[in-house]
Amino acid sequence: MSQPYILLVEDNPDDEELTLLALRRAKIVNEIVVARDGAEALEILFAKAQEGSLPALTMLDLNLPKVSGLEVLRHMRADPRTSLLPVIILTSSKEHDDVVAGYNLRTNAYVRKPVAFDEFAEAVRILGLFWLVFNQPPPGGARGATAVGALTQGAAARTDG
Amino acid sequence: MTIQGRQPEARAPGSPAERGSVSQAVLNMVDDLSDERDLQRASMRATLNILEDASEAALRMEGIQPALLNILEDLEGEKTNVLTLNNELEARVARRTDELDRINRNMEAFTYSVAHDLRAPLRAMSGFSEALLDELGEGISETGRDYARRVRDASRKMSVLIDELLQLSQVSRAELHREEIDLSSMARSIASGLASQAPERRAKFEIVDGLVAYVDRSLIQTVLENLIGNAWKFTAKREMTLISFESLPAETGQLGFFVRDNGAGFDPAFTDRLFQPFQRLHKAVEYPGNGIGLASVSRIIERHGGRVWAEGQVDRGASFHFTVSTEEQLNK
Repeated sequence: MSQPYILLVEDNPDDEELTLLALRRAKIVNEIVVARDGAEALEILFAKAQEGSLPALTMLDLNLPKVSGLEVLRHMRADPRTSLLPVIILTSSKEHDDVVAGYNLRTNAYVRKPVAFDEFAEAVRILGLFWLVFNQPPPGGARGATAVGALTQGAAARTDG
Repeated sequence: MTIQGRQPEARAPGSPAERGSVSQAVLNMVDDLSDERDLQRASMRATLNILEDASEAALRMEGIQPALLNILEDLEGEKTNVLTLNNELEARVARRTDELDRINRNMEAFTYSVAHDLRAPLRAMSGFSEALLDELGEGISETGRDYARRVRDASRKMSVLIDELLQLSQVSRAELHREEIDLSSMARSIASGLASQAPERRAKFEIVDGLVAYVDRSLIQTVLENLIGNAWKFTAKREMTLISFESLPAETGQLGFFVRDNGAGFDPAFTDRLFQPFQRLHKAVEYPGNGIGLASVSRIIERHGGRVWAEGQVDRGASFHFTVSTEEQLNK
């Protein structure tokens, strides 16, 4: 089986580039597949699931063209192949309704993207560390292959600073 | 009219004297009867008079009746008019409510897009200025580094401003859920939170027990956080910080409270500007802040049917007072 991938669902090219940059900085070595709208996300997800490949982590923006992030999550939760997969909503919105809807659809986390890049990069690093390394994935789900040493050393360095 | 009562002579009939007294009695009786007739006539006349009067009244009534009917008819018309007006008014109110709802929804949508759409470019500015620094590595001058830092700091500041503007609009739009709140314990937990963040500061909080108000919990939390937080901020340079939270004296006849400190105070000439958004009376480097806190406080207190005012002198501390309407006033 090929290495579990990270599905990044993001329509804003700047945010996509920044997230990729932050993942690179966090030394996360998983393949990263980018979907630029909700429909594309579902296509990729189910096409890959057909080949037996499931994402170790899905990072989901909410405000997307065609099919919204919440719709993507609804479809994922409704399909037995993807219903237990870890999903992080990563968005600009902290609107009460979005947060509630996200949790109602069993999102595993809801993170508002910080504006300052150092905070954003730190958030991505911690999320990667937690979901790809420490978290026990659901049965059938794939554990992330990550440079654990690099991630944890990063954490140590930060506490020192 | 005279009524004469005569006693009949108590003698046995038969004797001439007796006969005489009998005829006398009969005469008396006839006399009495004629009196009765007179009475009857008089009462008959009176009855006729009354009937005559009554028929006149009836005639008058007959005359009045059409007028009354006219009035009733007019009233009926008025009633229809009032009903029509009422319906129109209701329709107008419904239209206005719809309009307001629409405006509110637009406002919500606008707020949402401000939150979402303005933050994304800011994130790009912050992120790529930093990525640029990385790319250039050692090849960048100290000035270039400084400029990139300024871009990053400015985008961060703008994001804080956007968040606070959103908070201000949230405060204005949020529905009020009023309940009995223990302000004393709320103030105490805010105070201990502040004190634990700066354990090196010497501070004394005097918070009066049992201060309660009928207010919205999360909004009044914002009020107390701002007022006590400000008191904390502007006493940072005091050797010993003194902050108190008390109720207004009972003789003011209002339910109100105030937060007093021994901090930097302010020039009373600028009191009005204190509660305007983005107005600051102190330099940002001296006392950080965006001037949105007291504007939020003012809106929240306004929404609770109260008023807010400040008293202070430069370098001699400040006190911030607010009132709120009571449950009884609300139910009136």
